[in-house]
Amino acid sequence: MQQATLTQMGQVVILTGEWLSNLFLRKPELREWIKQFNHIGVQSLSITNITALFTGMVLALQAAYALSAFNADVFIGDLVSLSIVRELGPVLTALLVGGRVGAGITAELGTMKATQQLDAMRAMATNPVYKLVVPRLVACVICLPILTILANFIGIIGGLFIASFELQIDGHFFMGRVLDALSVNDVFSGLGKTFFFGYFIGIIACNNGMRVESGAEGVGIATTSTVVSASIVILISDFFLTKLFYMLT
Amino acid sequence: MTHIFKLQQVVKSFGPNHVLRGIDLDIRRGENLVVLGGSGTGKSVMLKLLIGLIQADSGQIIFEGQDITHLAERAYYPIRKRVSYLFQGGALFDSMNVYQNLAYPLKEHTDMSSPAILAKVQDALTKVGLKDIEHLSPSDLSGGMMKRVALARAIINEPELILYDEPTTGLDPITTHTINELIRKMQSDLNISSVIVTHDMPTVHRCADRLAFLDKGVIAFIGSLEEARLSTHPKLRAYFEGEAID
Repeated sequence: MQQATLTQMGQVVILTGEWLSNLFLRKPELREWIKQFNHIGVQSLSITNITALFTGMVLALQAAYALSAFNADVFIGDLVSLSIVRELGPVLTALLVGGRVGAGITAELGTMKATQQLDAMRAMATNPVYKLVVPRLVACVICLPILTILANFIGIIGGLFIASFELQIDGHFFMGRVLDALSVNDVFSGLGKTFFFGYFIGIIACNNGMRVESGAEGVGIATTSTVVSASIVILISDFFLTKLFYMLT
Repeated sequence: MTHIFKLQQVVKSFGPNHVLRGIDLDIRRGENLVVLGGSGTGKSVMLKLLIGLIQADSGQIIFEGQDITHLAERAYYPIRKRVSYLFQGGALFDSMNVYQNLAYPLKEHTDMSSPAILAKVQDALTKVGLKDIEHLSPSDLSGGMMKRVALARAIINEPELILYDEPTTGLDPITTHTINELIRKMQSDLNISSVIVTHDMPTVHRCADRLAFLDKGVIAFIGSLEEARLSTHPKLRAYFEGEAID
């Protein structure tokens, strides 16, 4: 493994320690938290929901194509709901938030680093981790599961829309299959992963932003690195988290 | 005159780049010390070492008799509350307006009420010759105004010492003169000592009680302005003669 990767992992571990100590030992700055919930959660709604809607619709069409060969169209609701709730909803939402929010956090903190605003915070005897990292990371960890719940719901609605209007499947029947197919474990397994995804996005984005070395070029490199690293970490961790939750449930 | 800071054989490198190779310097209460040197000679690095923004590889940094060379981040906080730092570009928080920038250290370190903070912000702005700009964001300010707002933020906590990192770089001569006058005013009116890092000769002439010349990672000269003018150090002479030719 490259030395740079190991260094970055070490930095992430240290930053996580600082984040946890500032999160639990100091009074939360609620105003800043709310601002980040809006920025990271509310403003991501459109992109995650549009993606979920069309993913659900495409999934229903593809399922109809594949299942009709076996005269098994009735299971479209099962396939759409399980795919979305267990896998596509969490992963696609995380990838989109990783791209939109992760890049934004790194660019913002990186610019602050490059223009010495982080040093200014330290020079005024304040802690940038407490002021900047804690609210952003908390917002990532809390907002991603909420965005995923909404994305799951809208994805299934997308599937319902196609099933009803395109495939002439009764809506009540479709929703009945969805509810029959989904168990609490499916929902738990899908949503459980999103807390980890939120943490990965936030910690990678904050760490890369706070360690920008040079000016505009450094910010650009760090931002790209965040999107790539967060995407890869989400996809790799998804496999292990799926196995973990499979064992737990 | 008592020492605030004392640097003894301070060494700092960044990878293969040996920036400071053994700095010896004392910073005295009540005086303006100007540190002159070319770009990349480690002037800003030296300032950052003083308040622990970066840490020295070896040597000692003494603050009021206490060795502060290698402290934990939080242990520097009491020093940073007494020593302000004026960054080269101002380093105003661009997500905040002028009022919020100036109020930031007060909200962090005092229990002052909002009206009291507003009064103090307005007072600090008045001291640097600005008025009615509390609502503006940093992007609305000119370079000179930005430096003055940053100076207002630096003095709002009533520090004992201000570290100026190239306070006049990139400014026109009139604004440079204004900033230089303000630095002197801070010393005479508020009894604030200063360390001013610069390569700007008007700032040297107007602000220096004592001059240190940093070259090749060491203090190549330290003394009064008169002594500096008589120095035989070729680079230091070039600074003074270059100005005379102009």
